[in-house]
Amino acid sequence: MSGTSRSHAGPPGPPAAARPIGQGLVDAGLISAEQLQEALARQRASGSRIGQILIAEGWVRPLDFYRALAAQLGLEFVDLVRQPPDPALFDESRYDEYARLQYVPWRASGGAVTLALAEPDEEALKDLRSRYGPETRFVITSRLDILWSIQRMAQQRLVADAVCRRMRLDPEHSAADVLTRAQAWLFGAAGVVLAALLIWKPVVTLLGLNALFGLLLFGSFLLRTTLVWKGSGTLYQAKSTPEELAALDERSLPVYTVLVPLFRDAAVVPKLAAALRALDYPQSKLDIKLVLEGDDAETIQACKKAGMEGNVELIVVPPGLPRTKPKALNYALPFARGQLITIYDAEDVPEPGQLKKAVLAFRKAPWEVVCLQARLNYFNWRENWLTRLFTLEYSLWFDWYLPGLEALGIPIPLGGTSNHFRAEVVRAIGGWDPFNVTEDADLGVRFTMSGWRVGVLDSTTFEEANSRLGNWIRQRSRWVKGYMQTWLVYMRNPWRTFRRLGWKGFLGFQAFVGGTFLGPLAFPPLTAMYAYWLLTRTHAMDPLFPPGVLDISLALLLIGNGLLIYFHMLAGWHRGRHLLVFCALQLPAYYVLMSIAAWKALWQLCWRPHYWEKTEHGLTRVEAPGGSDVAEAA
Amino acid sequence: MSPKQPEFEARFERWVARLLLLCLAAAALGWVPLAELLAVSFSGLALWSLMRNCTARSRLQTGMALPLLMALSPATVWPALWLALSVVVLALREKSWVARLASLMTIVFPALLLHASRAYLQWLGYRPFWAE
Repeated sequence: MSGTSRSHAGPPGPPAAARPIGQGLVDAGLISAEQLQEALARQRASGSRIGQILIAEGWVRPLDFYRALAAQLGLEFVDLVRQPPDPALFDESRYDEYARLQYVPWRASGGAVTLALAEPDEEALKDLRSRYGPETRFVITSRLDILWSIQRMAQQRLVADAVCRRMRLDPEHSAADVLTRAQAWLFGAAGVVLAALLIWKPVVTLLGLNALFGLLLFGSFLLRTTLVWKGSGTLYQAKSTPEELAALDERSLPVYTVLVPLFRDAAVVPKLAAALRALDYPQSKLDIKLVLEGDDAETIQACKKAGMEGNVELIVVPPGLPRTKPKALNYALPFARGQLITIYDAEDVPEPGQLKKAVLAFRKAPWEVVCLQARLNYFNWRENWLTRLFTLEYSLWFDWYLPGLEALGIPIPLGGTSNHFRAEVVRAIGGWDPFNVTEDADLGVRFTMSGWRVGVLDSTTFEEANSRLGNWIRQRSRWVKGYMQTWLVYMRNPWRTFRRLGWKGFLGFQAFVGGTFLGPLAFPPLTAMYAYWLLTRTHAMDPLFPPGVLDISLALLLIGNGLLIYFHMLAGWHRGRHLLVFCALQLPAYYVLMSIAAWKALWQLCWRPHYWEKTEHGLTRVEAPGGSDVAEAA
Repeated sequence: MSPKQPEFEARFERWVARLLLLCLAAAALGWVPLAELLAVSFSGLALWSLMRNCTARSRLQTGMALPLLMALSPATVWPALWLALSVVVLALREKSWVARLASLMTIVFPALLLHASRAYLQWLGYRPFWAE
């Protein structure tokens, strides 16, 4: 092993030959002189360290670089795979600190501890000496070795925290229990009372239920109309100009962590690699973590073979329940080095400039904005009927509804990908709820409950729309189940939710989160009643529809549904997808599918509340767009 | 787009929205001439904005203006016709026939919806209060 003959006693001093590390690498034949010149030019532009640039670009192997660094500092280099840290020195409870400061305690002798570290700058050394004493010794290792060692030695603690940290911090708002005891009693009592009323006064009870549903759906429709009006405003549609983006100084850009949870996604790994490579952000300031499941050997192999750059690291989550994306994200969170964090899905193709836009948007936003949701849309929208309707729905949701929610100060249920966070805030609130199958929606509401705000980013990530019906139903039923979980969690103490969200946020939460599953659930009985009446012209239902209720029902049927179709048309037009304007007329048929998914979600909520229905990716025959196409379409 | 432009657009959008609200309020109070004046002003500004920079909001506003003018009073039928002709001309500026038809659809759909709803209610033989 290189460097084993060197001493690791004492602090690093000036090297014997004070030769810059880059030149040392050239002299050792590890990089070419041209690569060094290019790296120096990039260093001037981005302010990153030369080593970070060389590794991120893949011009030098991390192991080679850290060996050269050790030689330059006159320290020993250790390979932690071959010479693992002493387990007696490793304190599981401090894995956060090890990951943040990029070190692990390695050996101890004569009362002094030897630390293996990857970022031996003055500040880190001073900090570590203050923790371990002035006699502390240092050896150099690679960042990957530290990552590997922490994962191996603190695995149990990492898993336990990934599953339980959120619950420990805020048990009331954990979806680990579907219903609290009080909620179970309340729903049970309501069911009994309703059954009794239906027996005692069936007509009046059904009339009351009909009126209540009508009012709730009318409220949801009014909110959606307001959202479209507000969300279409210029200030919420365009937040940064090309001039502002061009003026961004790369030296001022923070390190950005990109978390990509993967599970049975081997087929899309090459596309993912291309999309990550296309990001317009200094590679040396990108900290990309592919978060993999330990028993998913195929995807792990695909990632290893993808030939990704040196700034891509693999985090392997040990198999175990709950097997959910939020658990995987929680597991990876301590290893995130960035000040900002974003999440992409395996099949995502983000607009190349999205990270820079997010940095700019965070700088321009008030301090309480801690999360930005980028817009999501589909690249395979032309593929079939399902993808066209799905694209229309997403266009309205992300391009108009979410900016509208932002404008009105209503909690924004985040989409599952392309959320950009301030890292310290995500850590402070304990990460994601591993028991909620739409952890993103939950997090958006939780931010608002905690006094923070979520904004919308005027940048698009293109995804693969589900093109197969069964796959679509699985995905949609998970989403609806997650919305049900989220609603139940924040309605455990409605008064507290009301106080924290304010009346506008509270009503918006009811109409937007509650309305998202109530509408599809109510669709079959209401449609059946209407169809029966239309075919038979029976007067049997007249008592259920006195003038006021009938007026609301007709308004919802004609104006409500009609305007919703219109809003979808506008959203399709606004995206420049003219064909979709006509497809919006087919939305009622799409509602049938949404309804099937919603009923499946309700069934699953009762019997398999935490089951994560995996969405298959890579089924499309449409080629994902490249960098410039994405920028143009976004 | 200059950095100042979004602020101007936002102010402009707020004023146009206020015009619409005032128009609806005047119509609800039975001040028909005022409502007509406000509706015509709203429609004119919406169309002007649509022709100028074709923002999302301006298309929505123009789409709302057409049924408003058609439903308000017989006096606003002529401005409605003028608006309809203008949006046809605007749609013809698009590059393909799909885009032209789609452009037209995104503006005339609410007016079509209004007519279809009225026809359906007539067929049912029921007039809810909001269709009076």
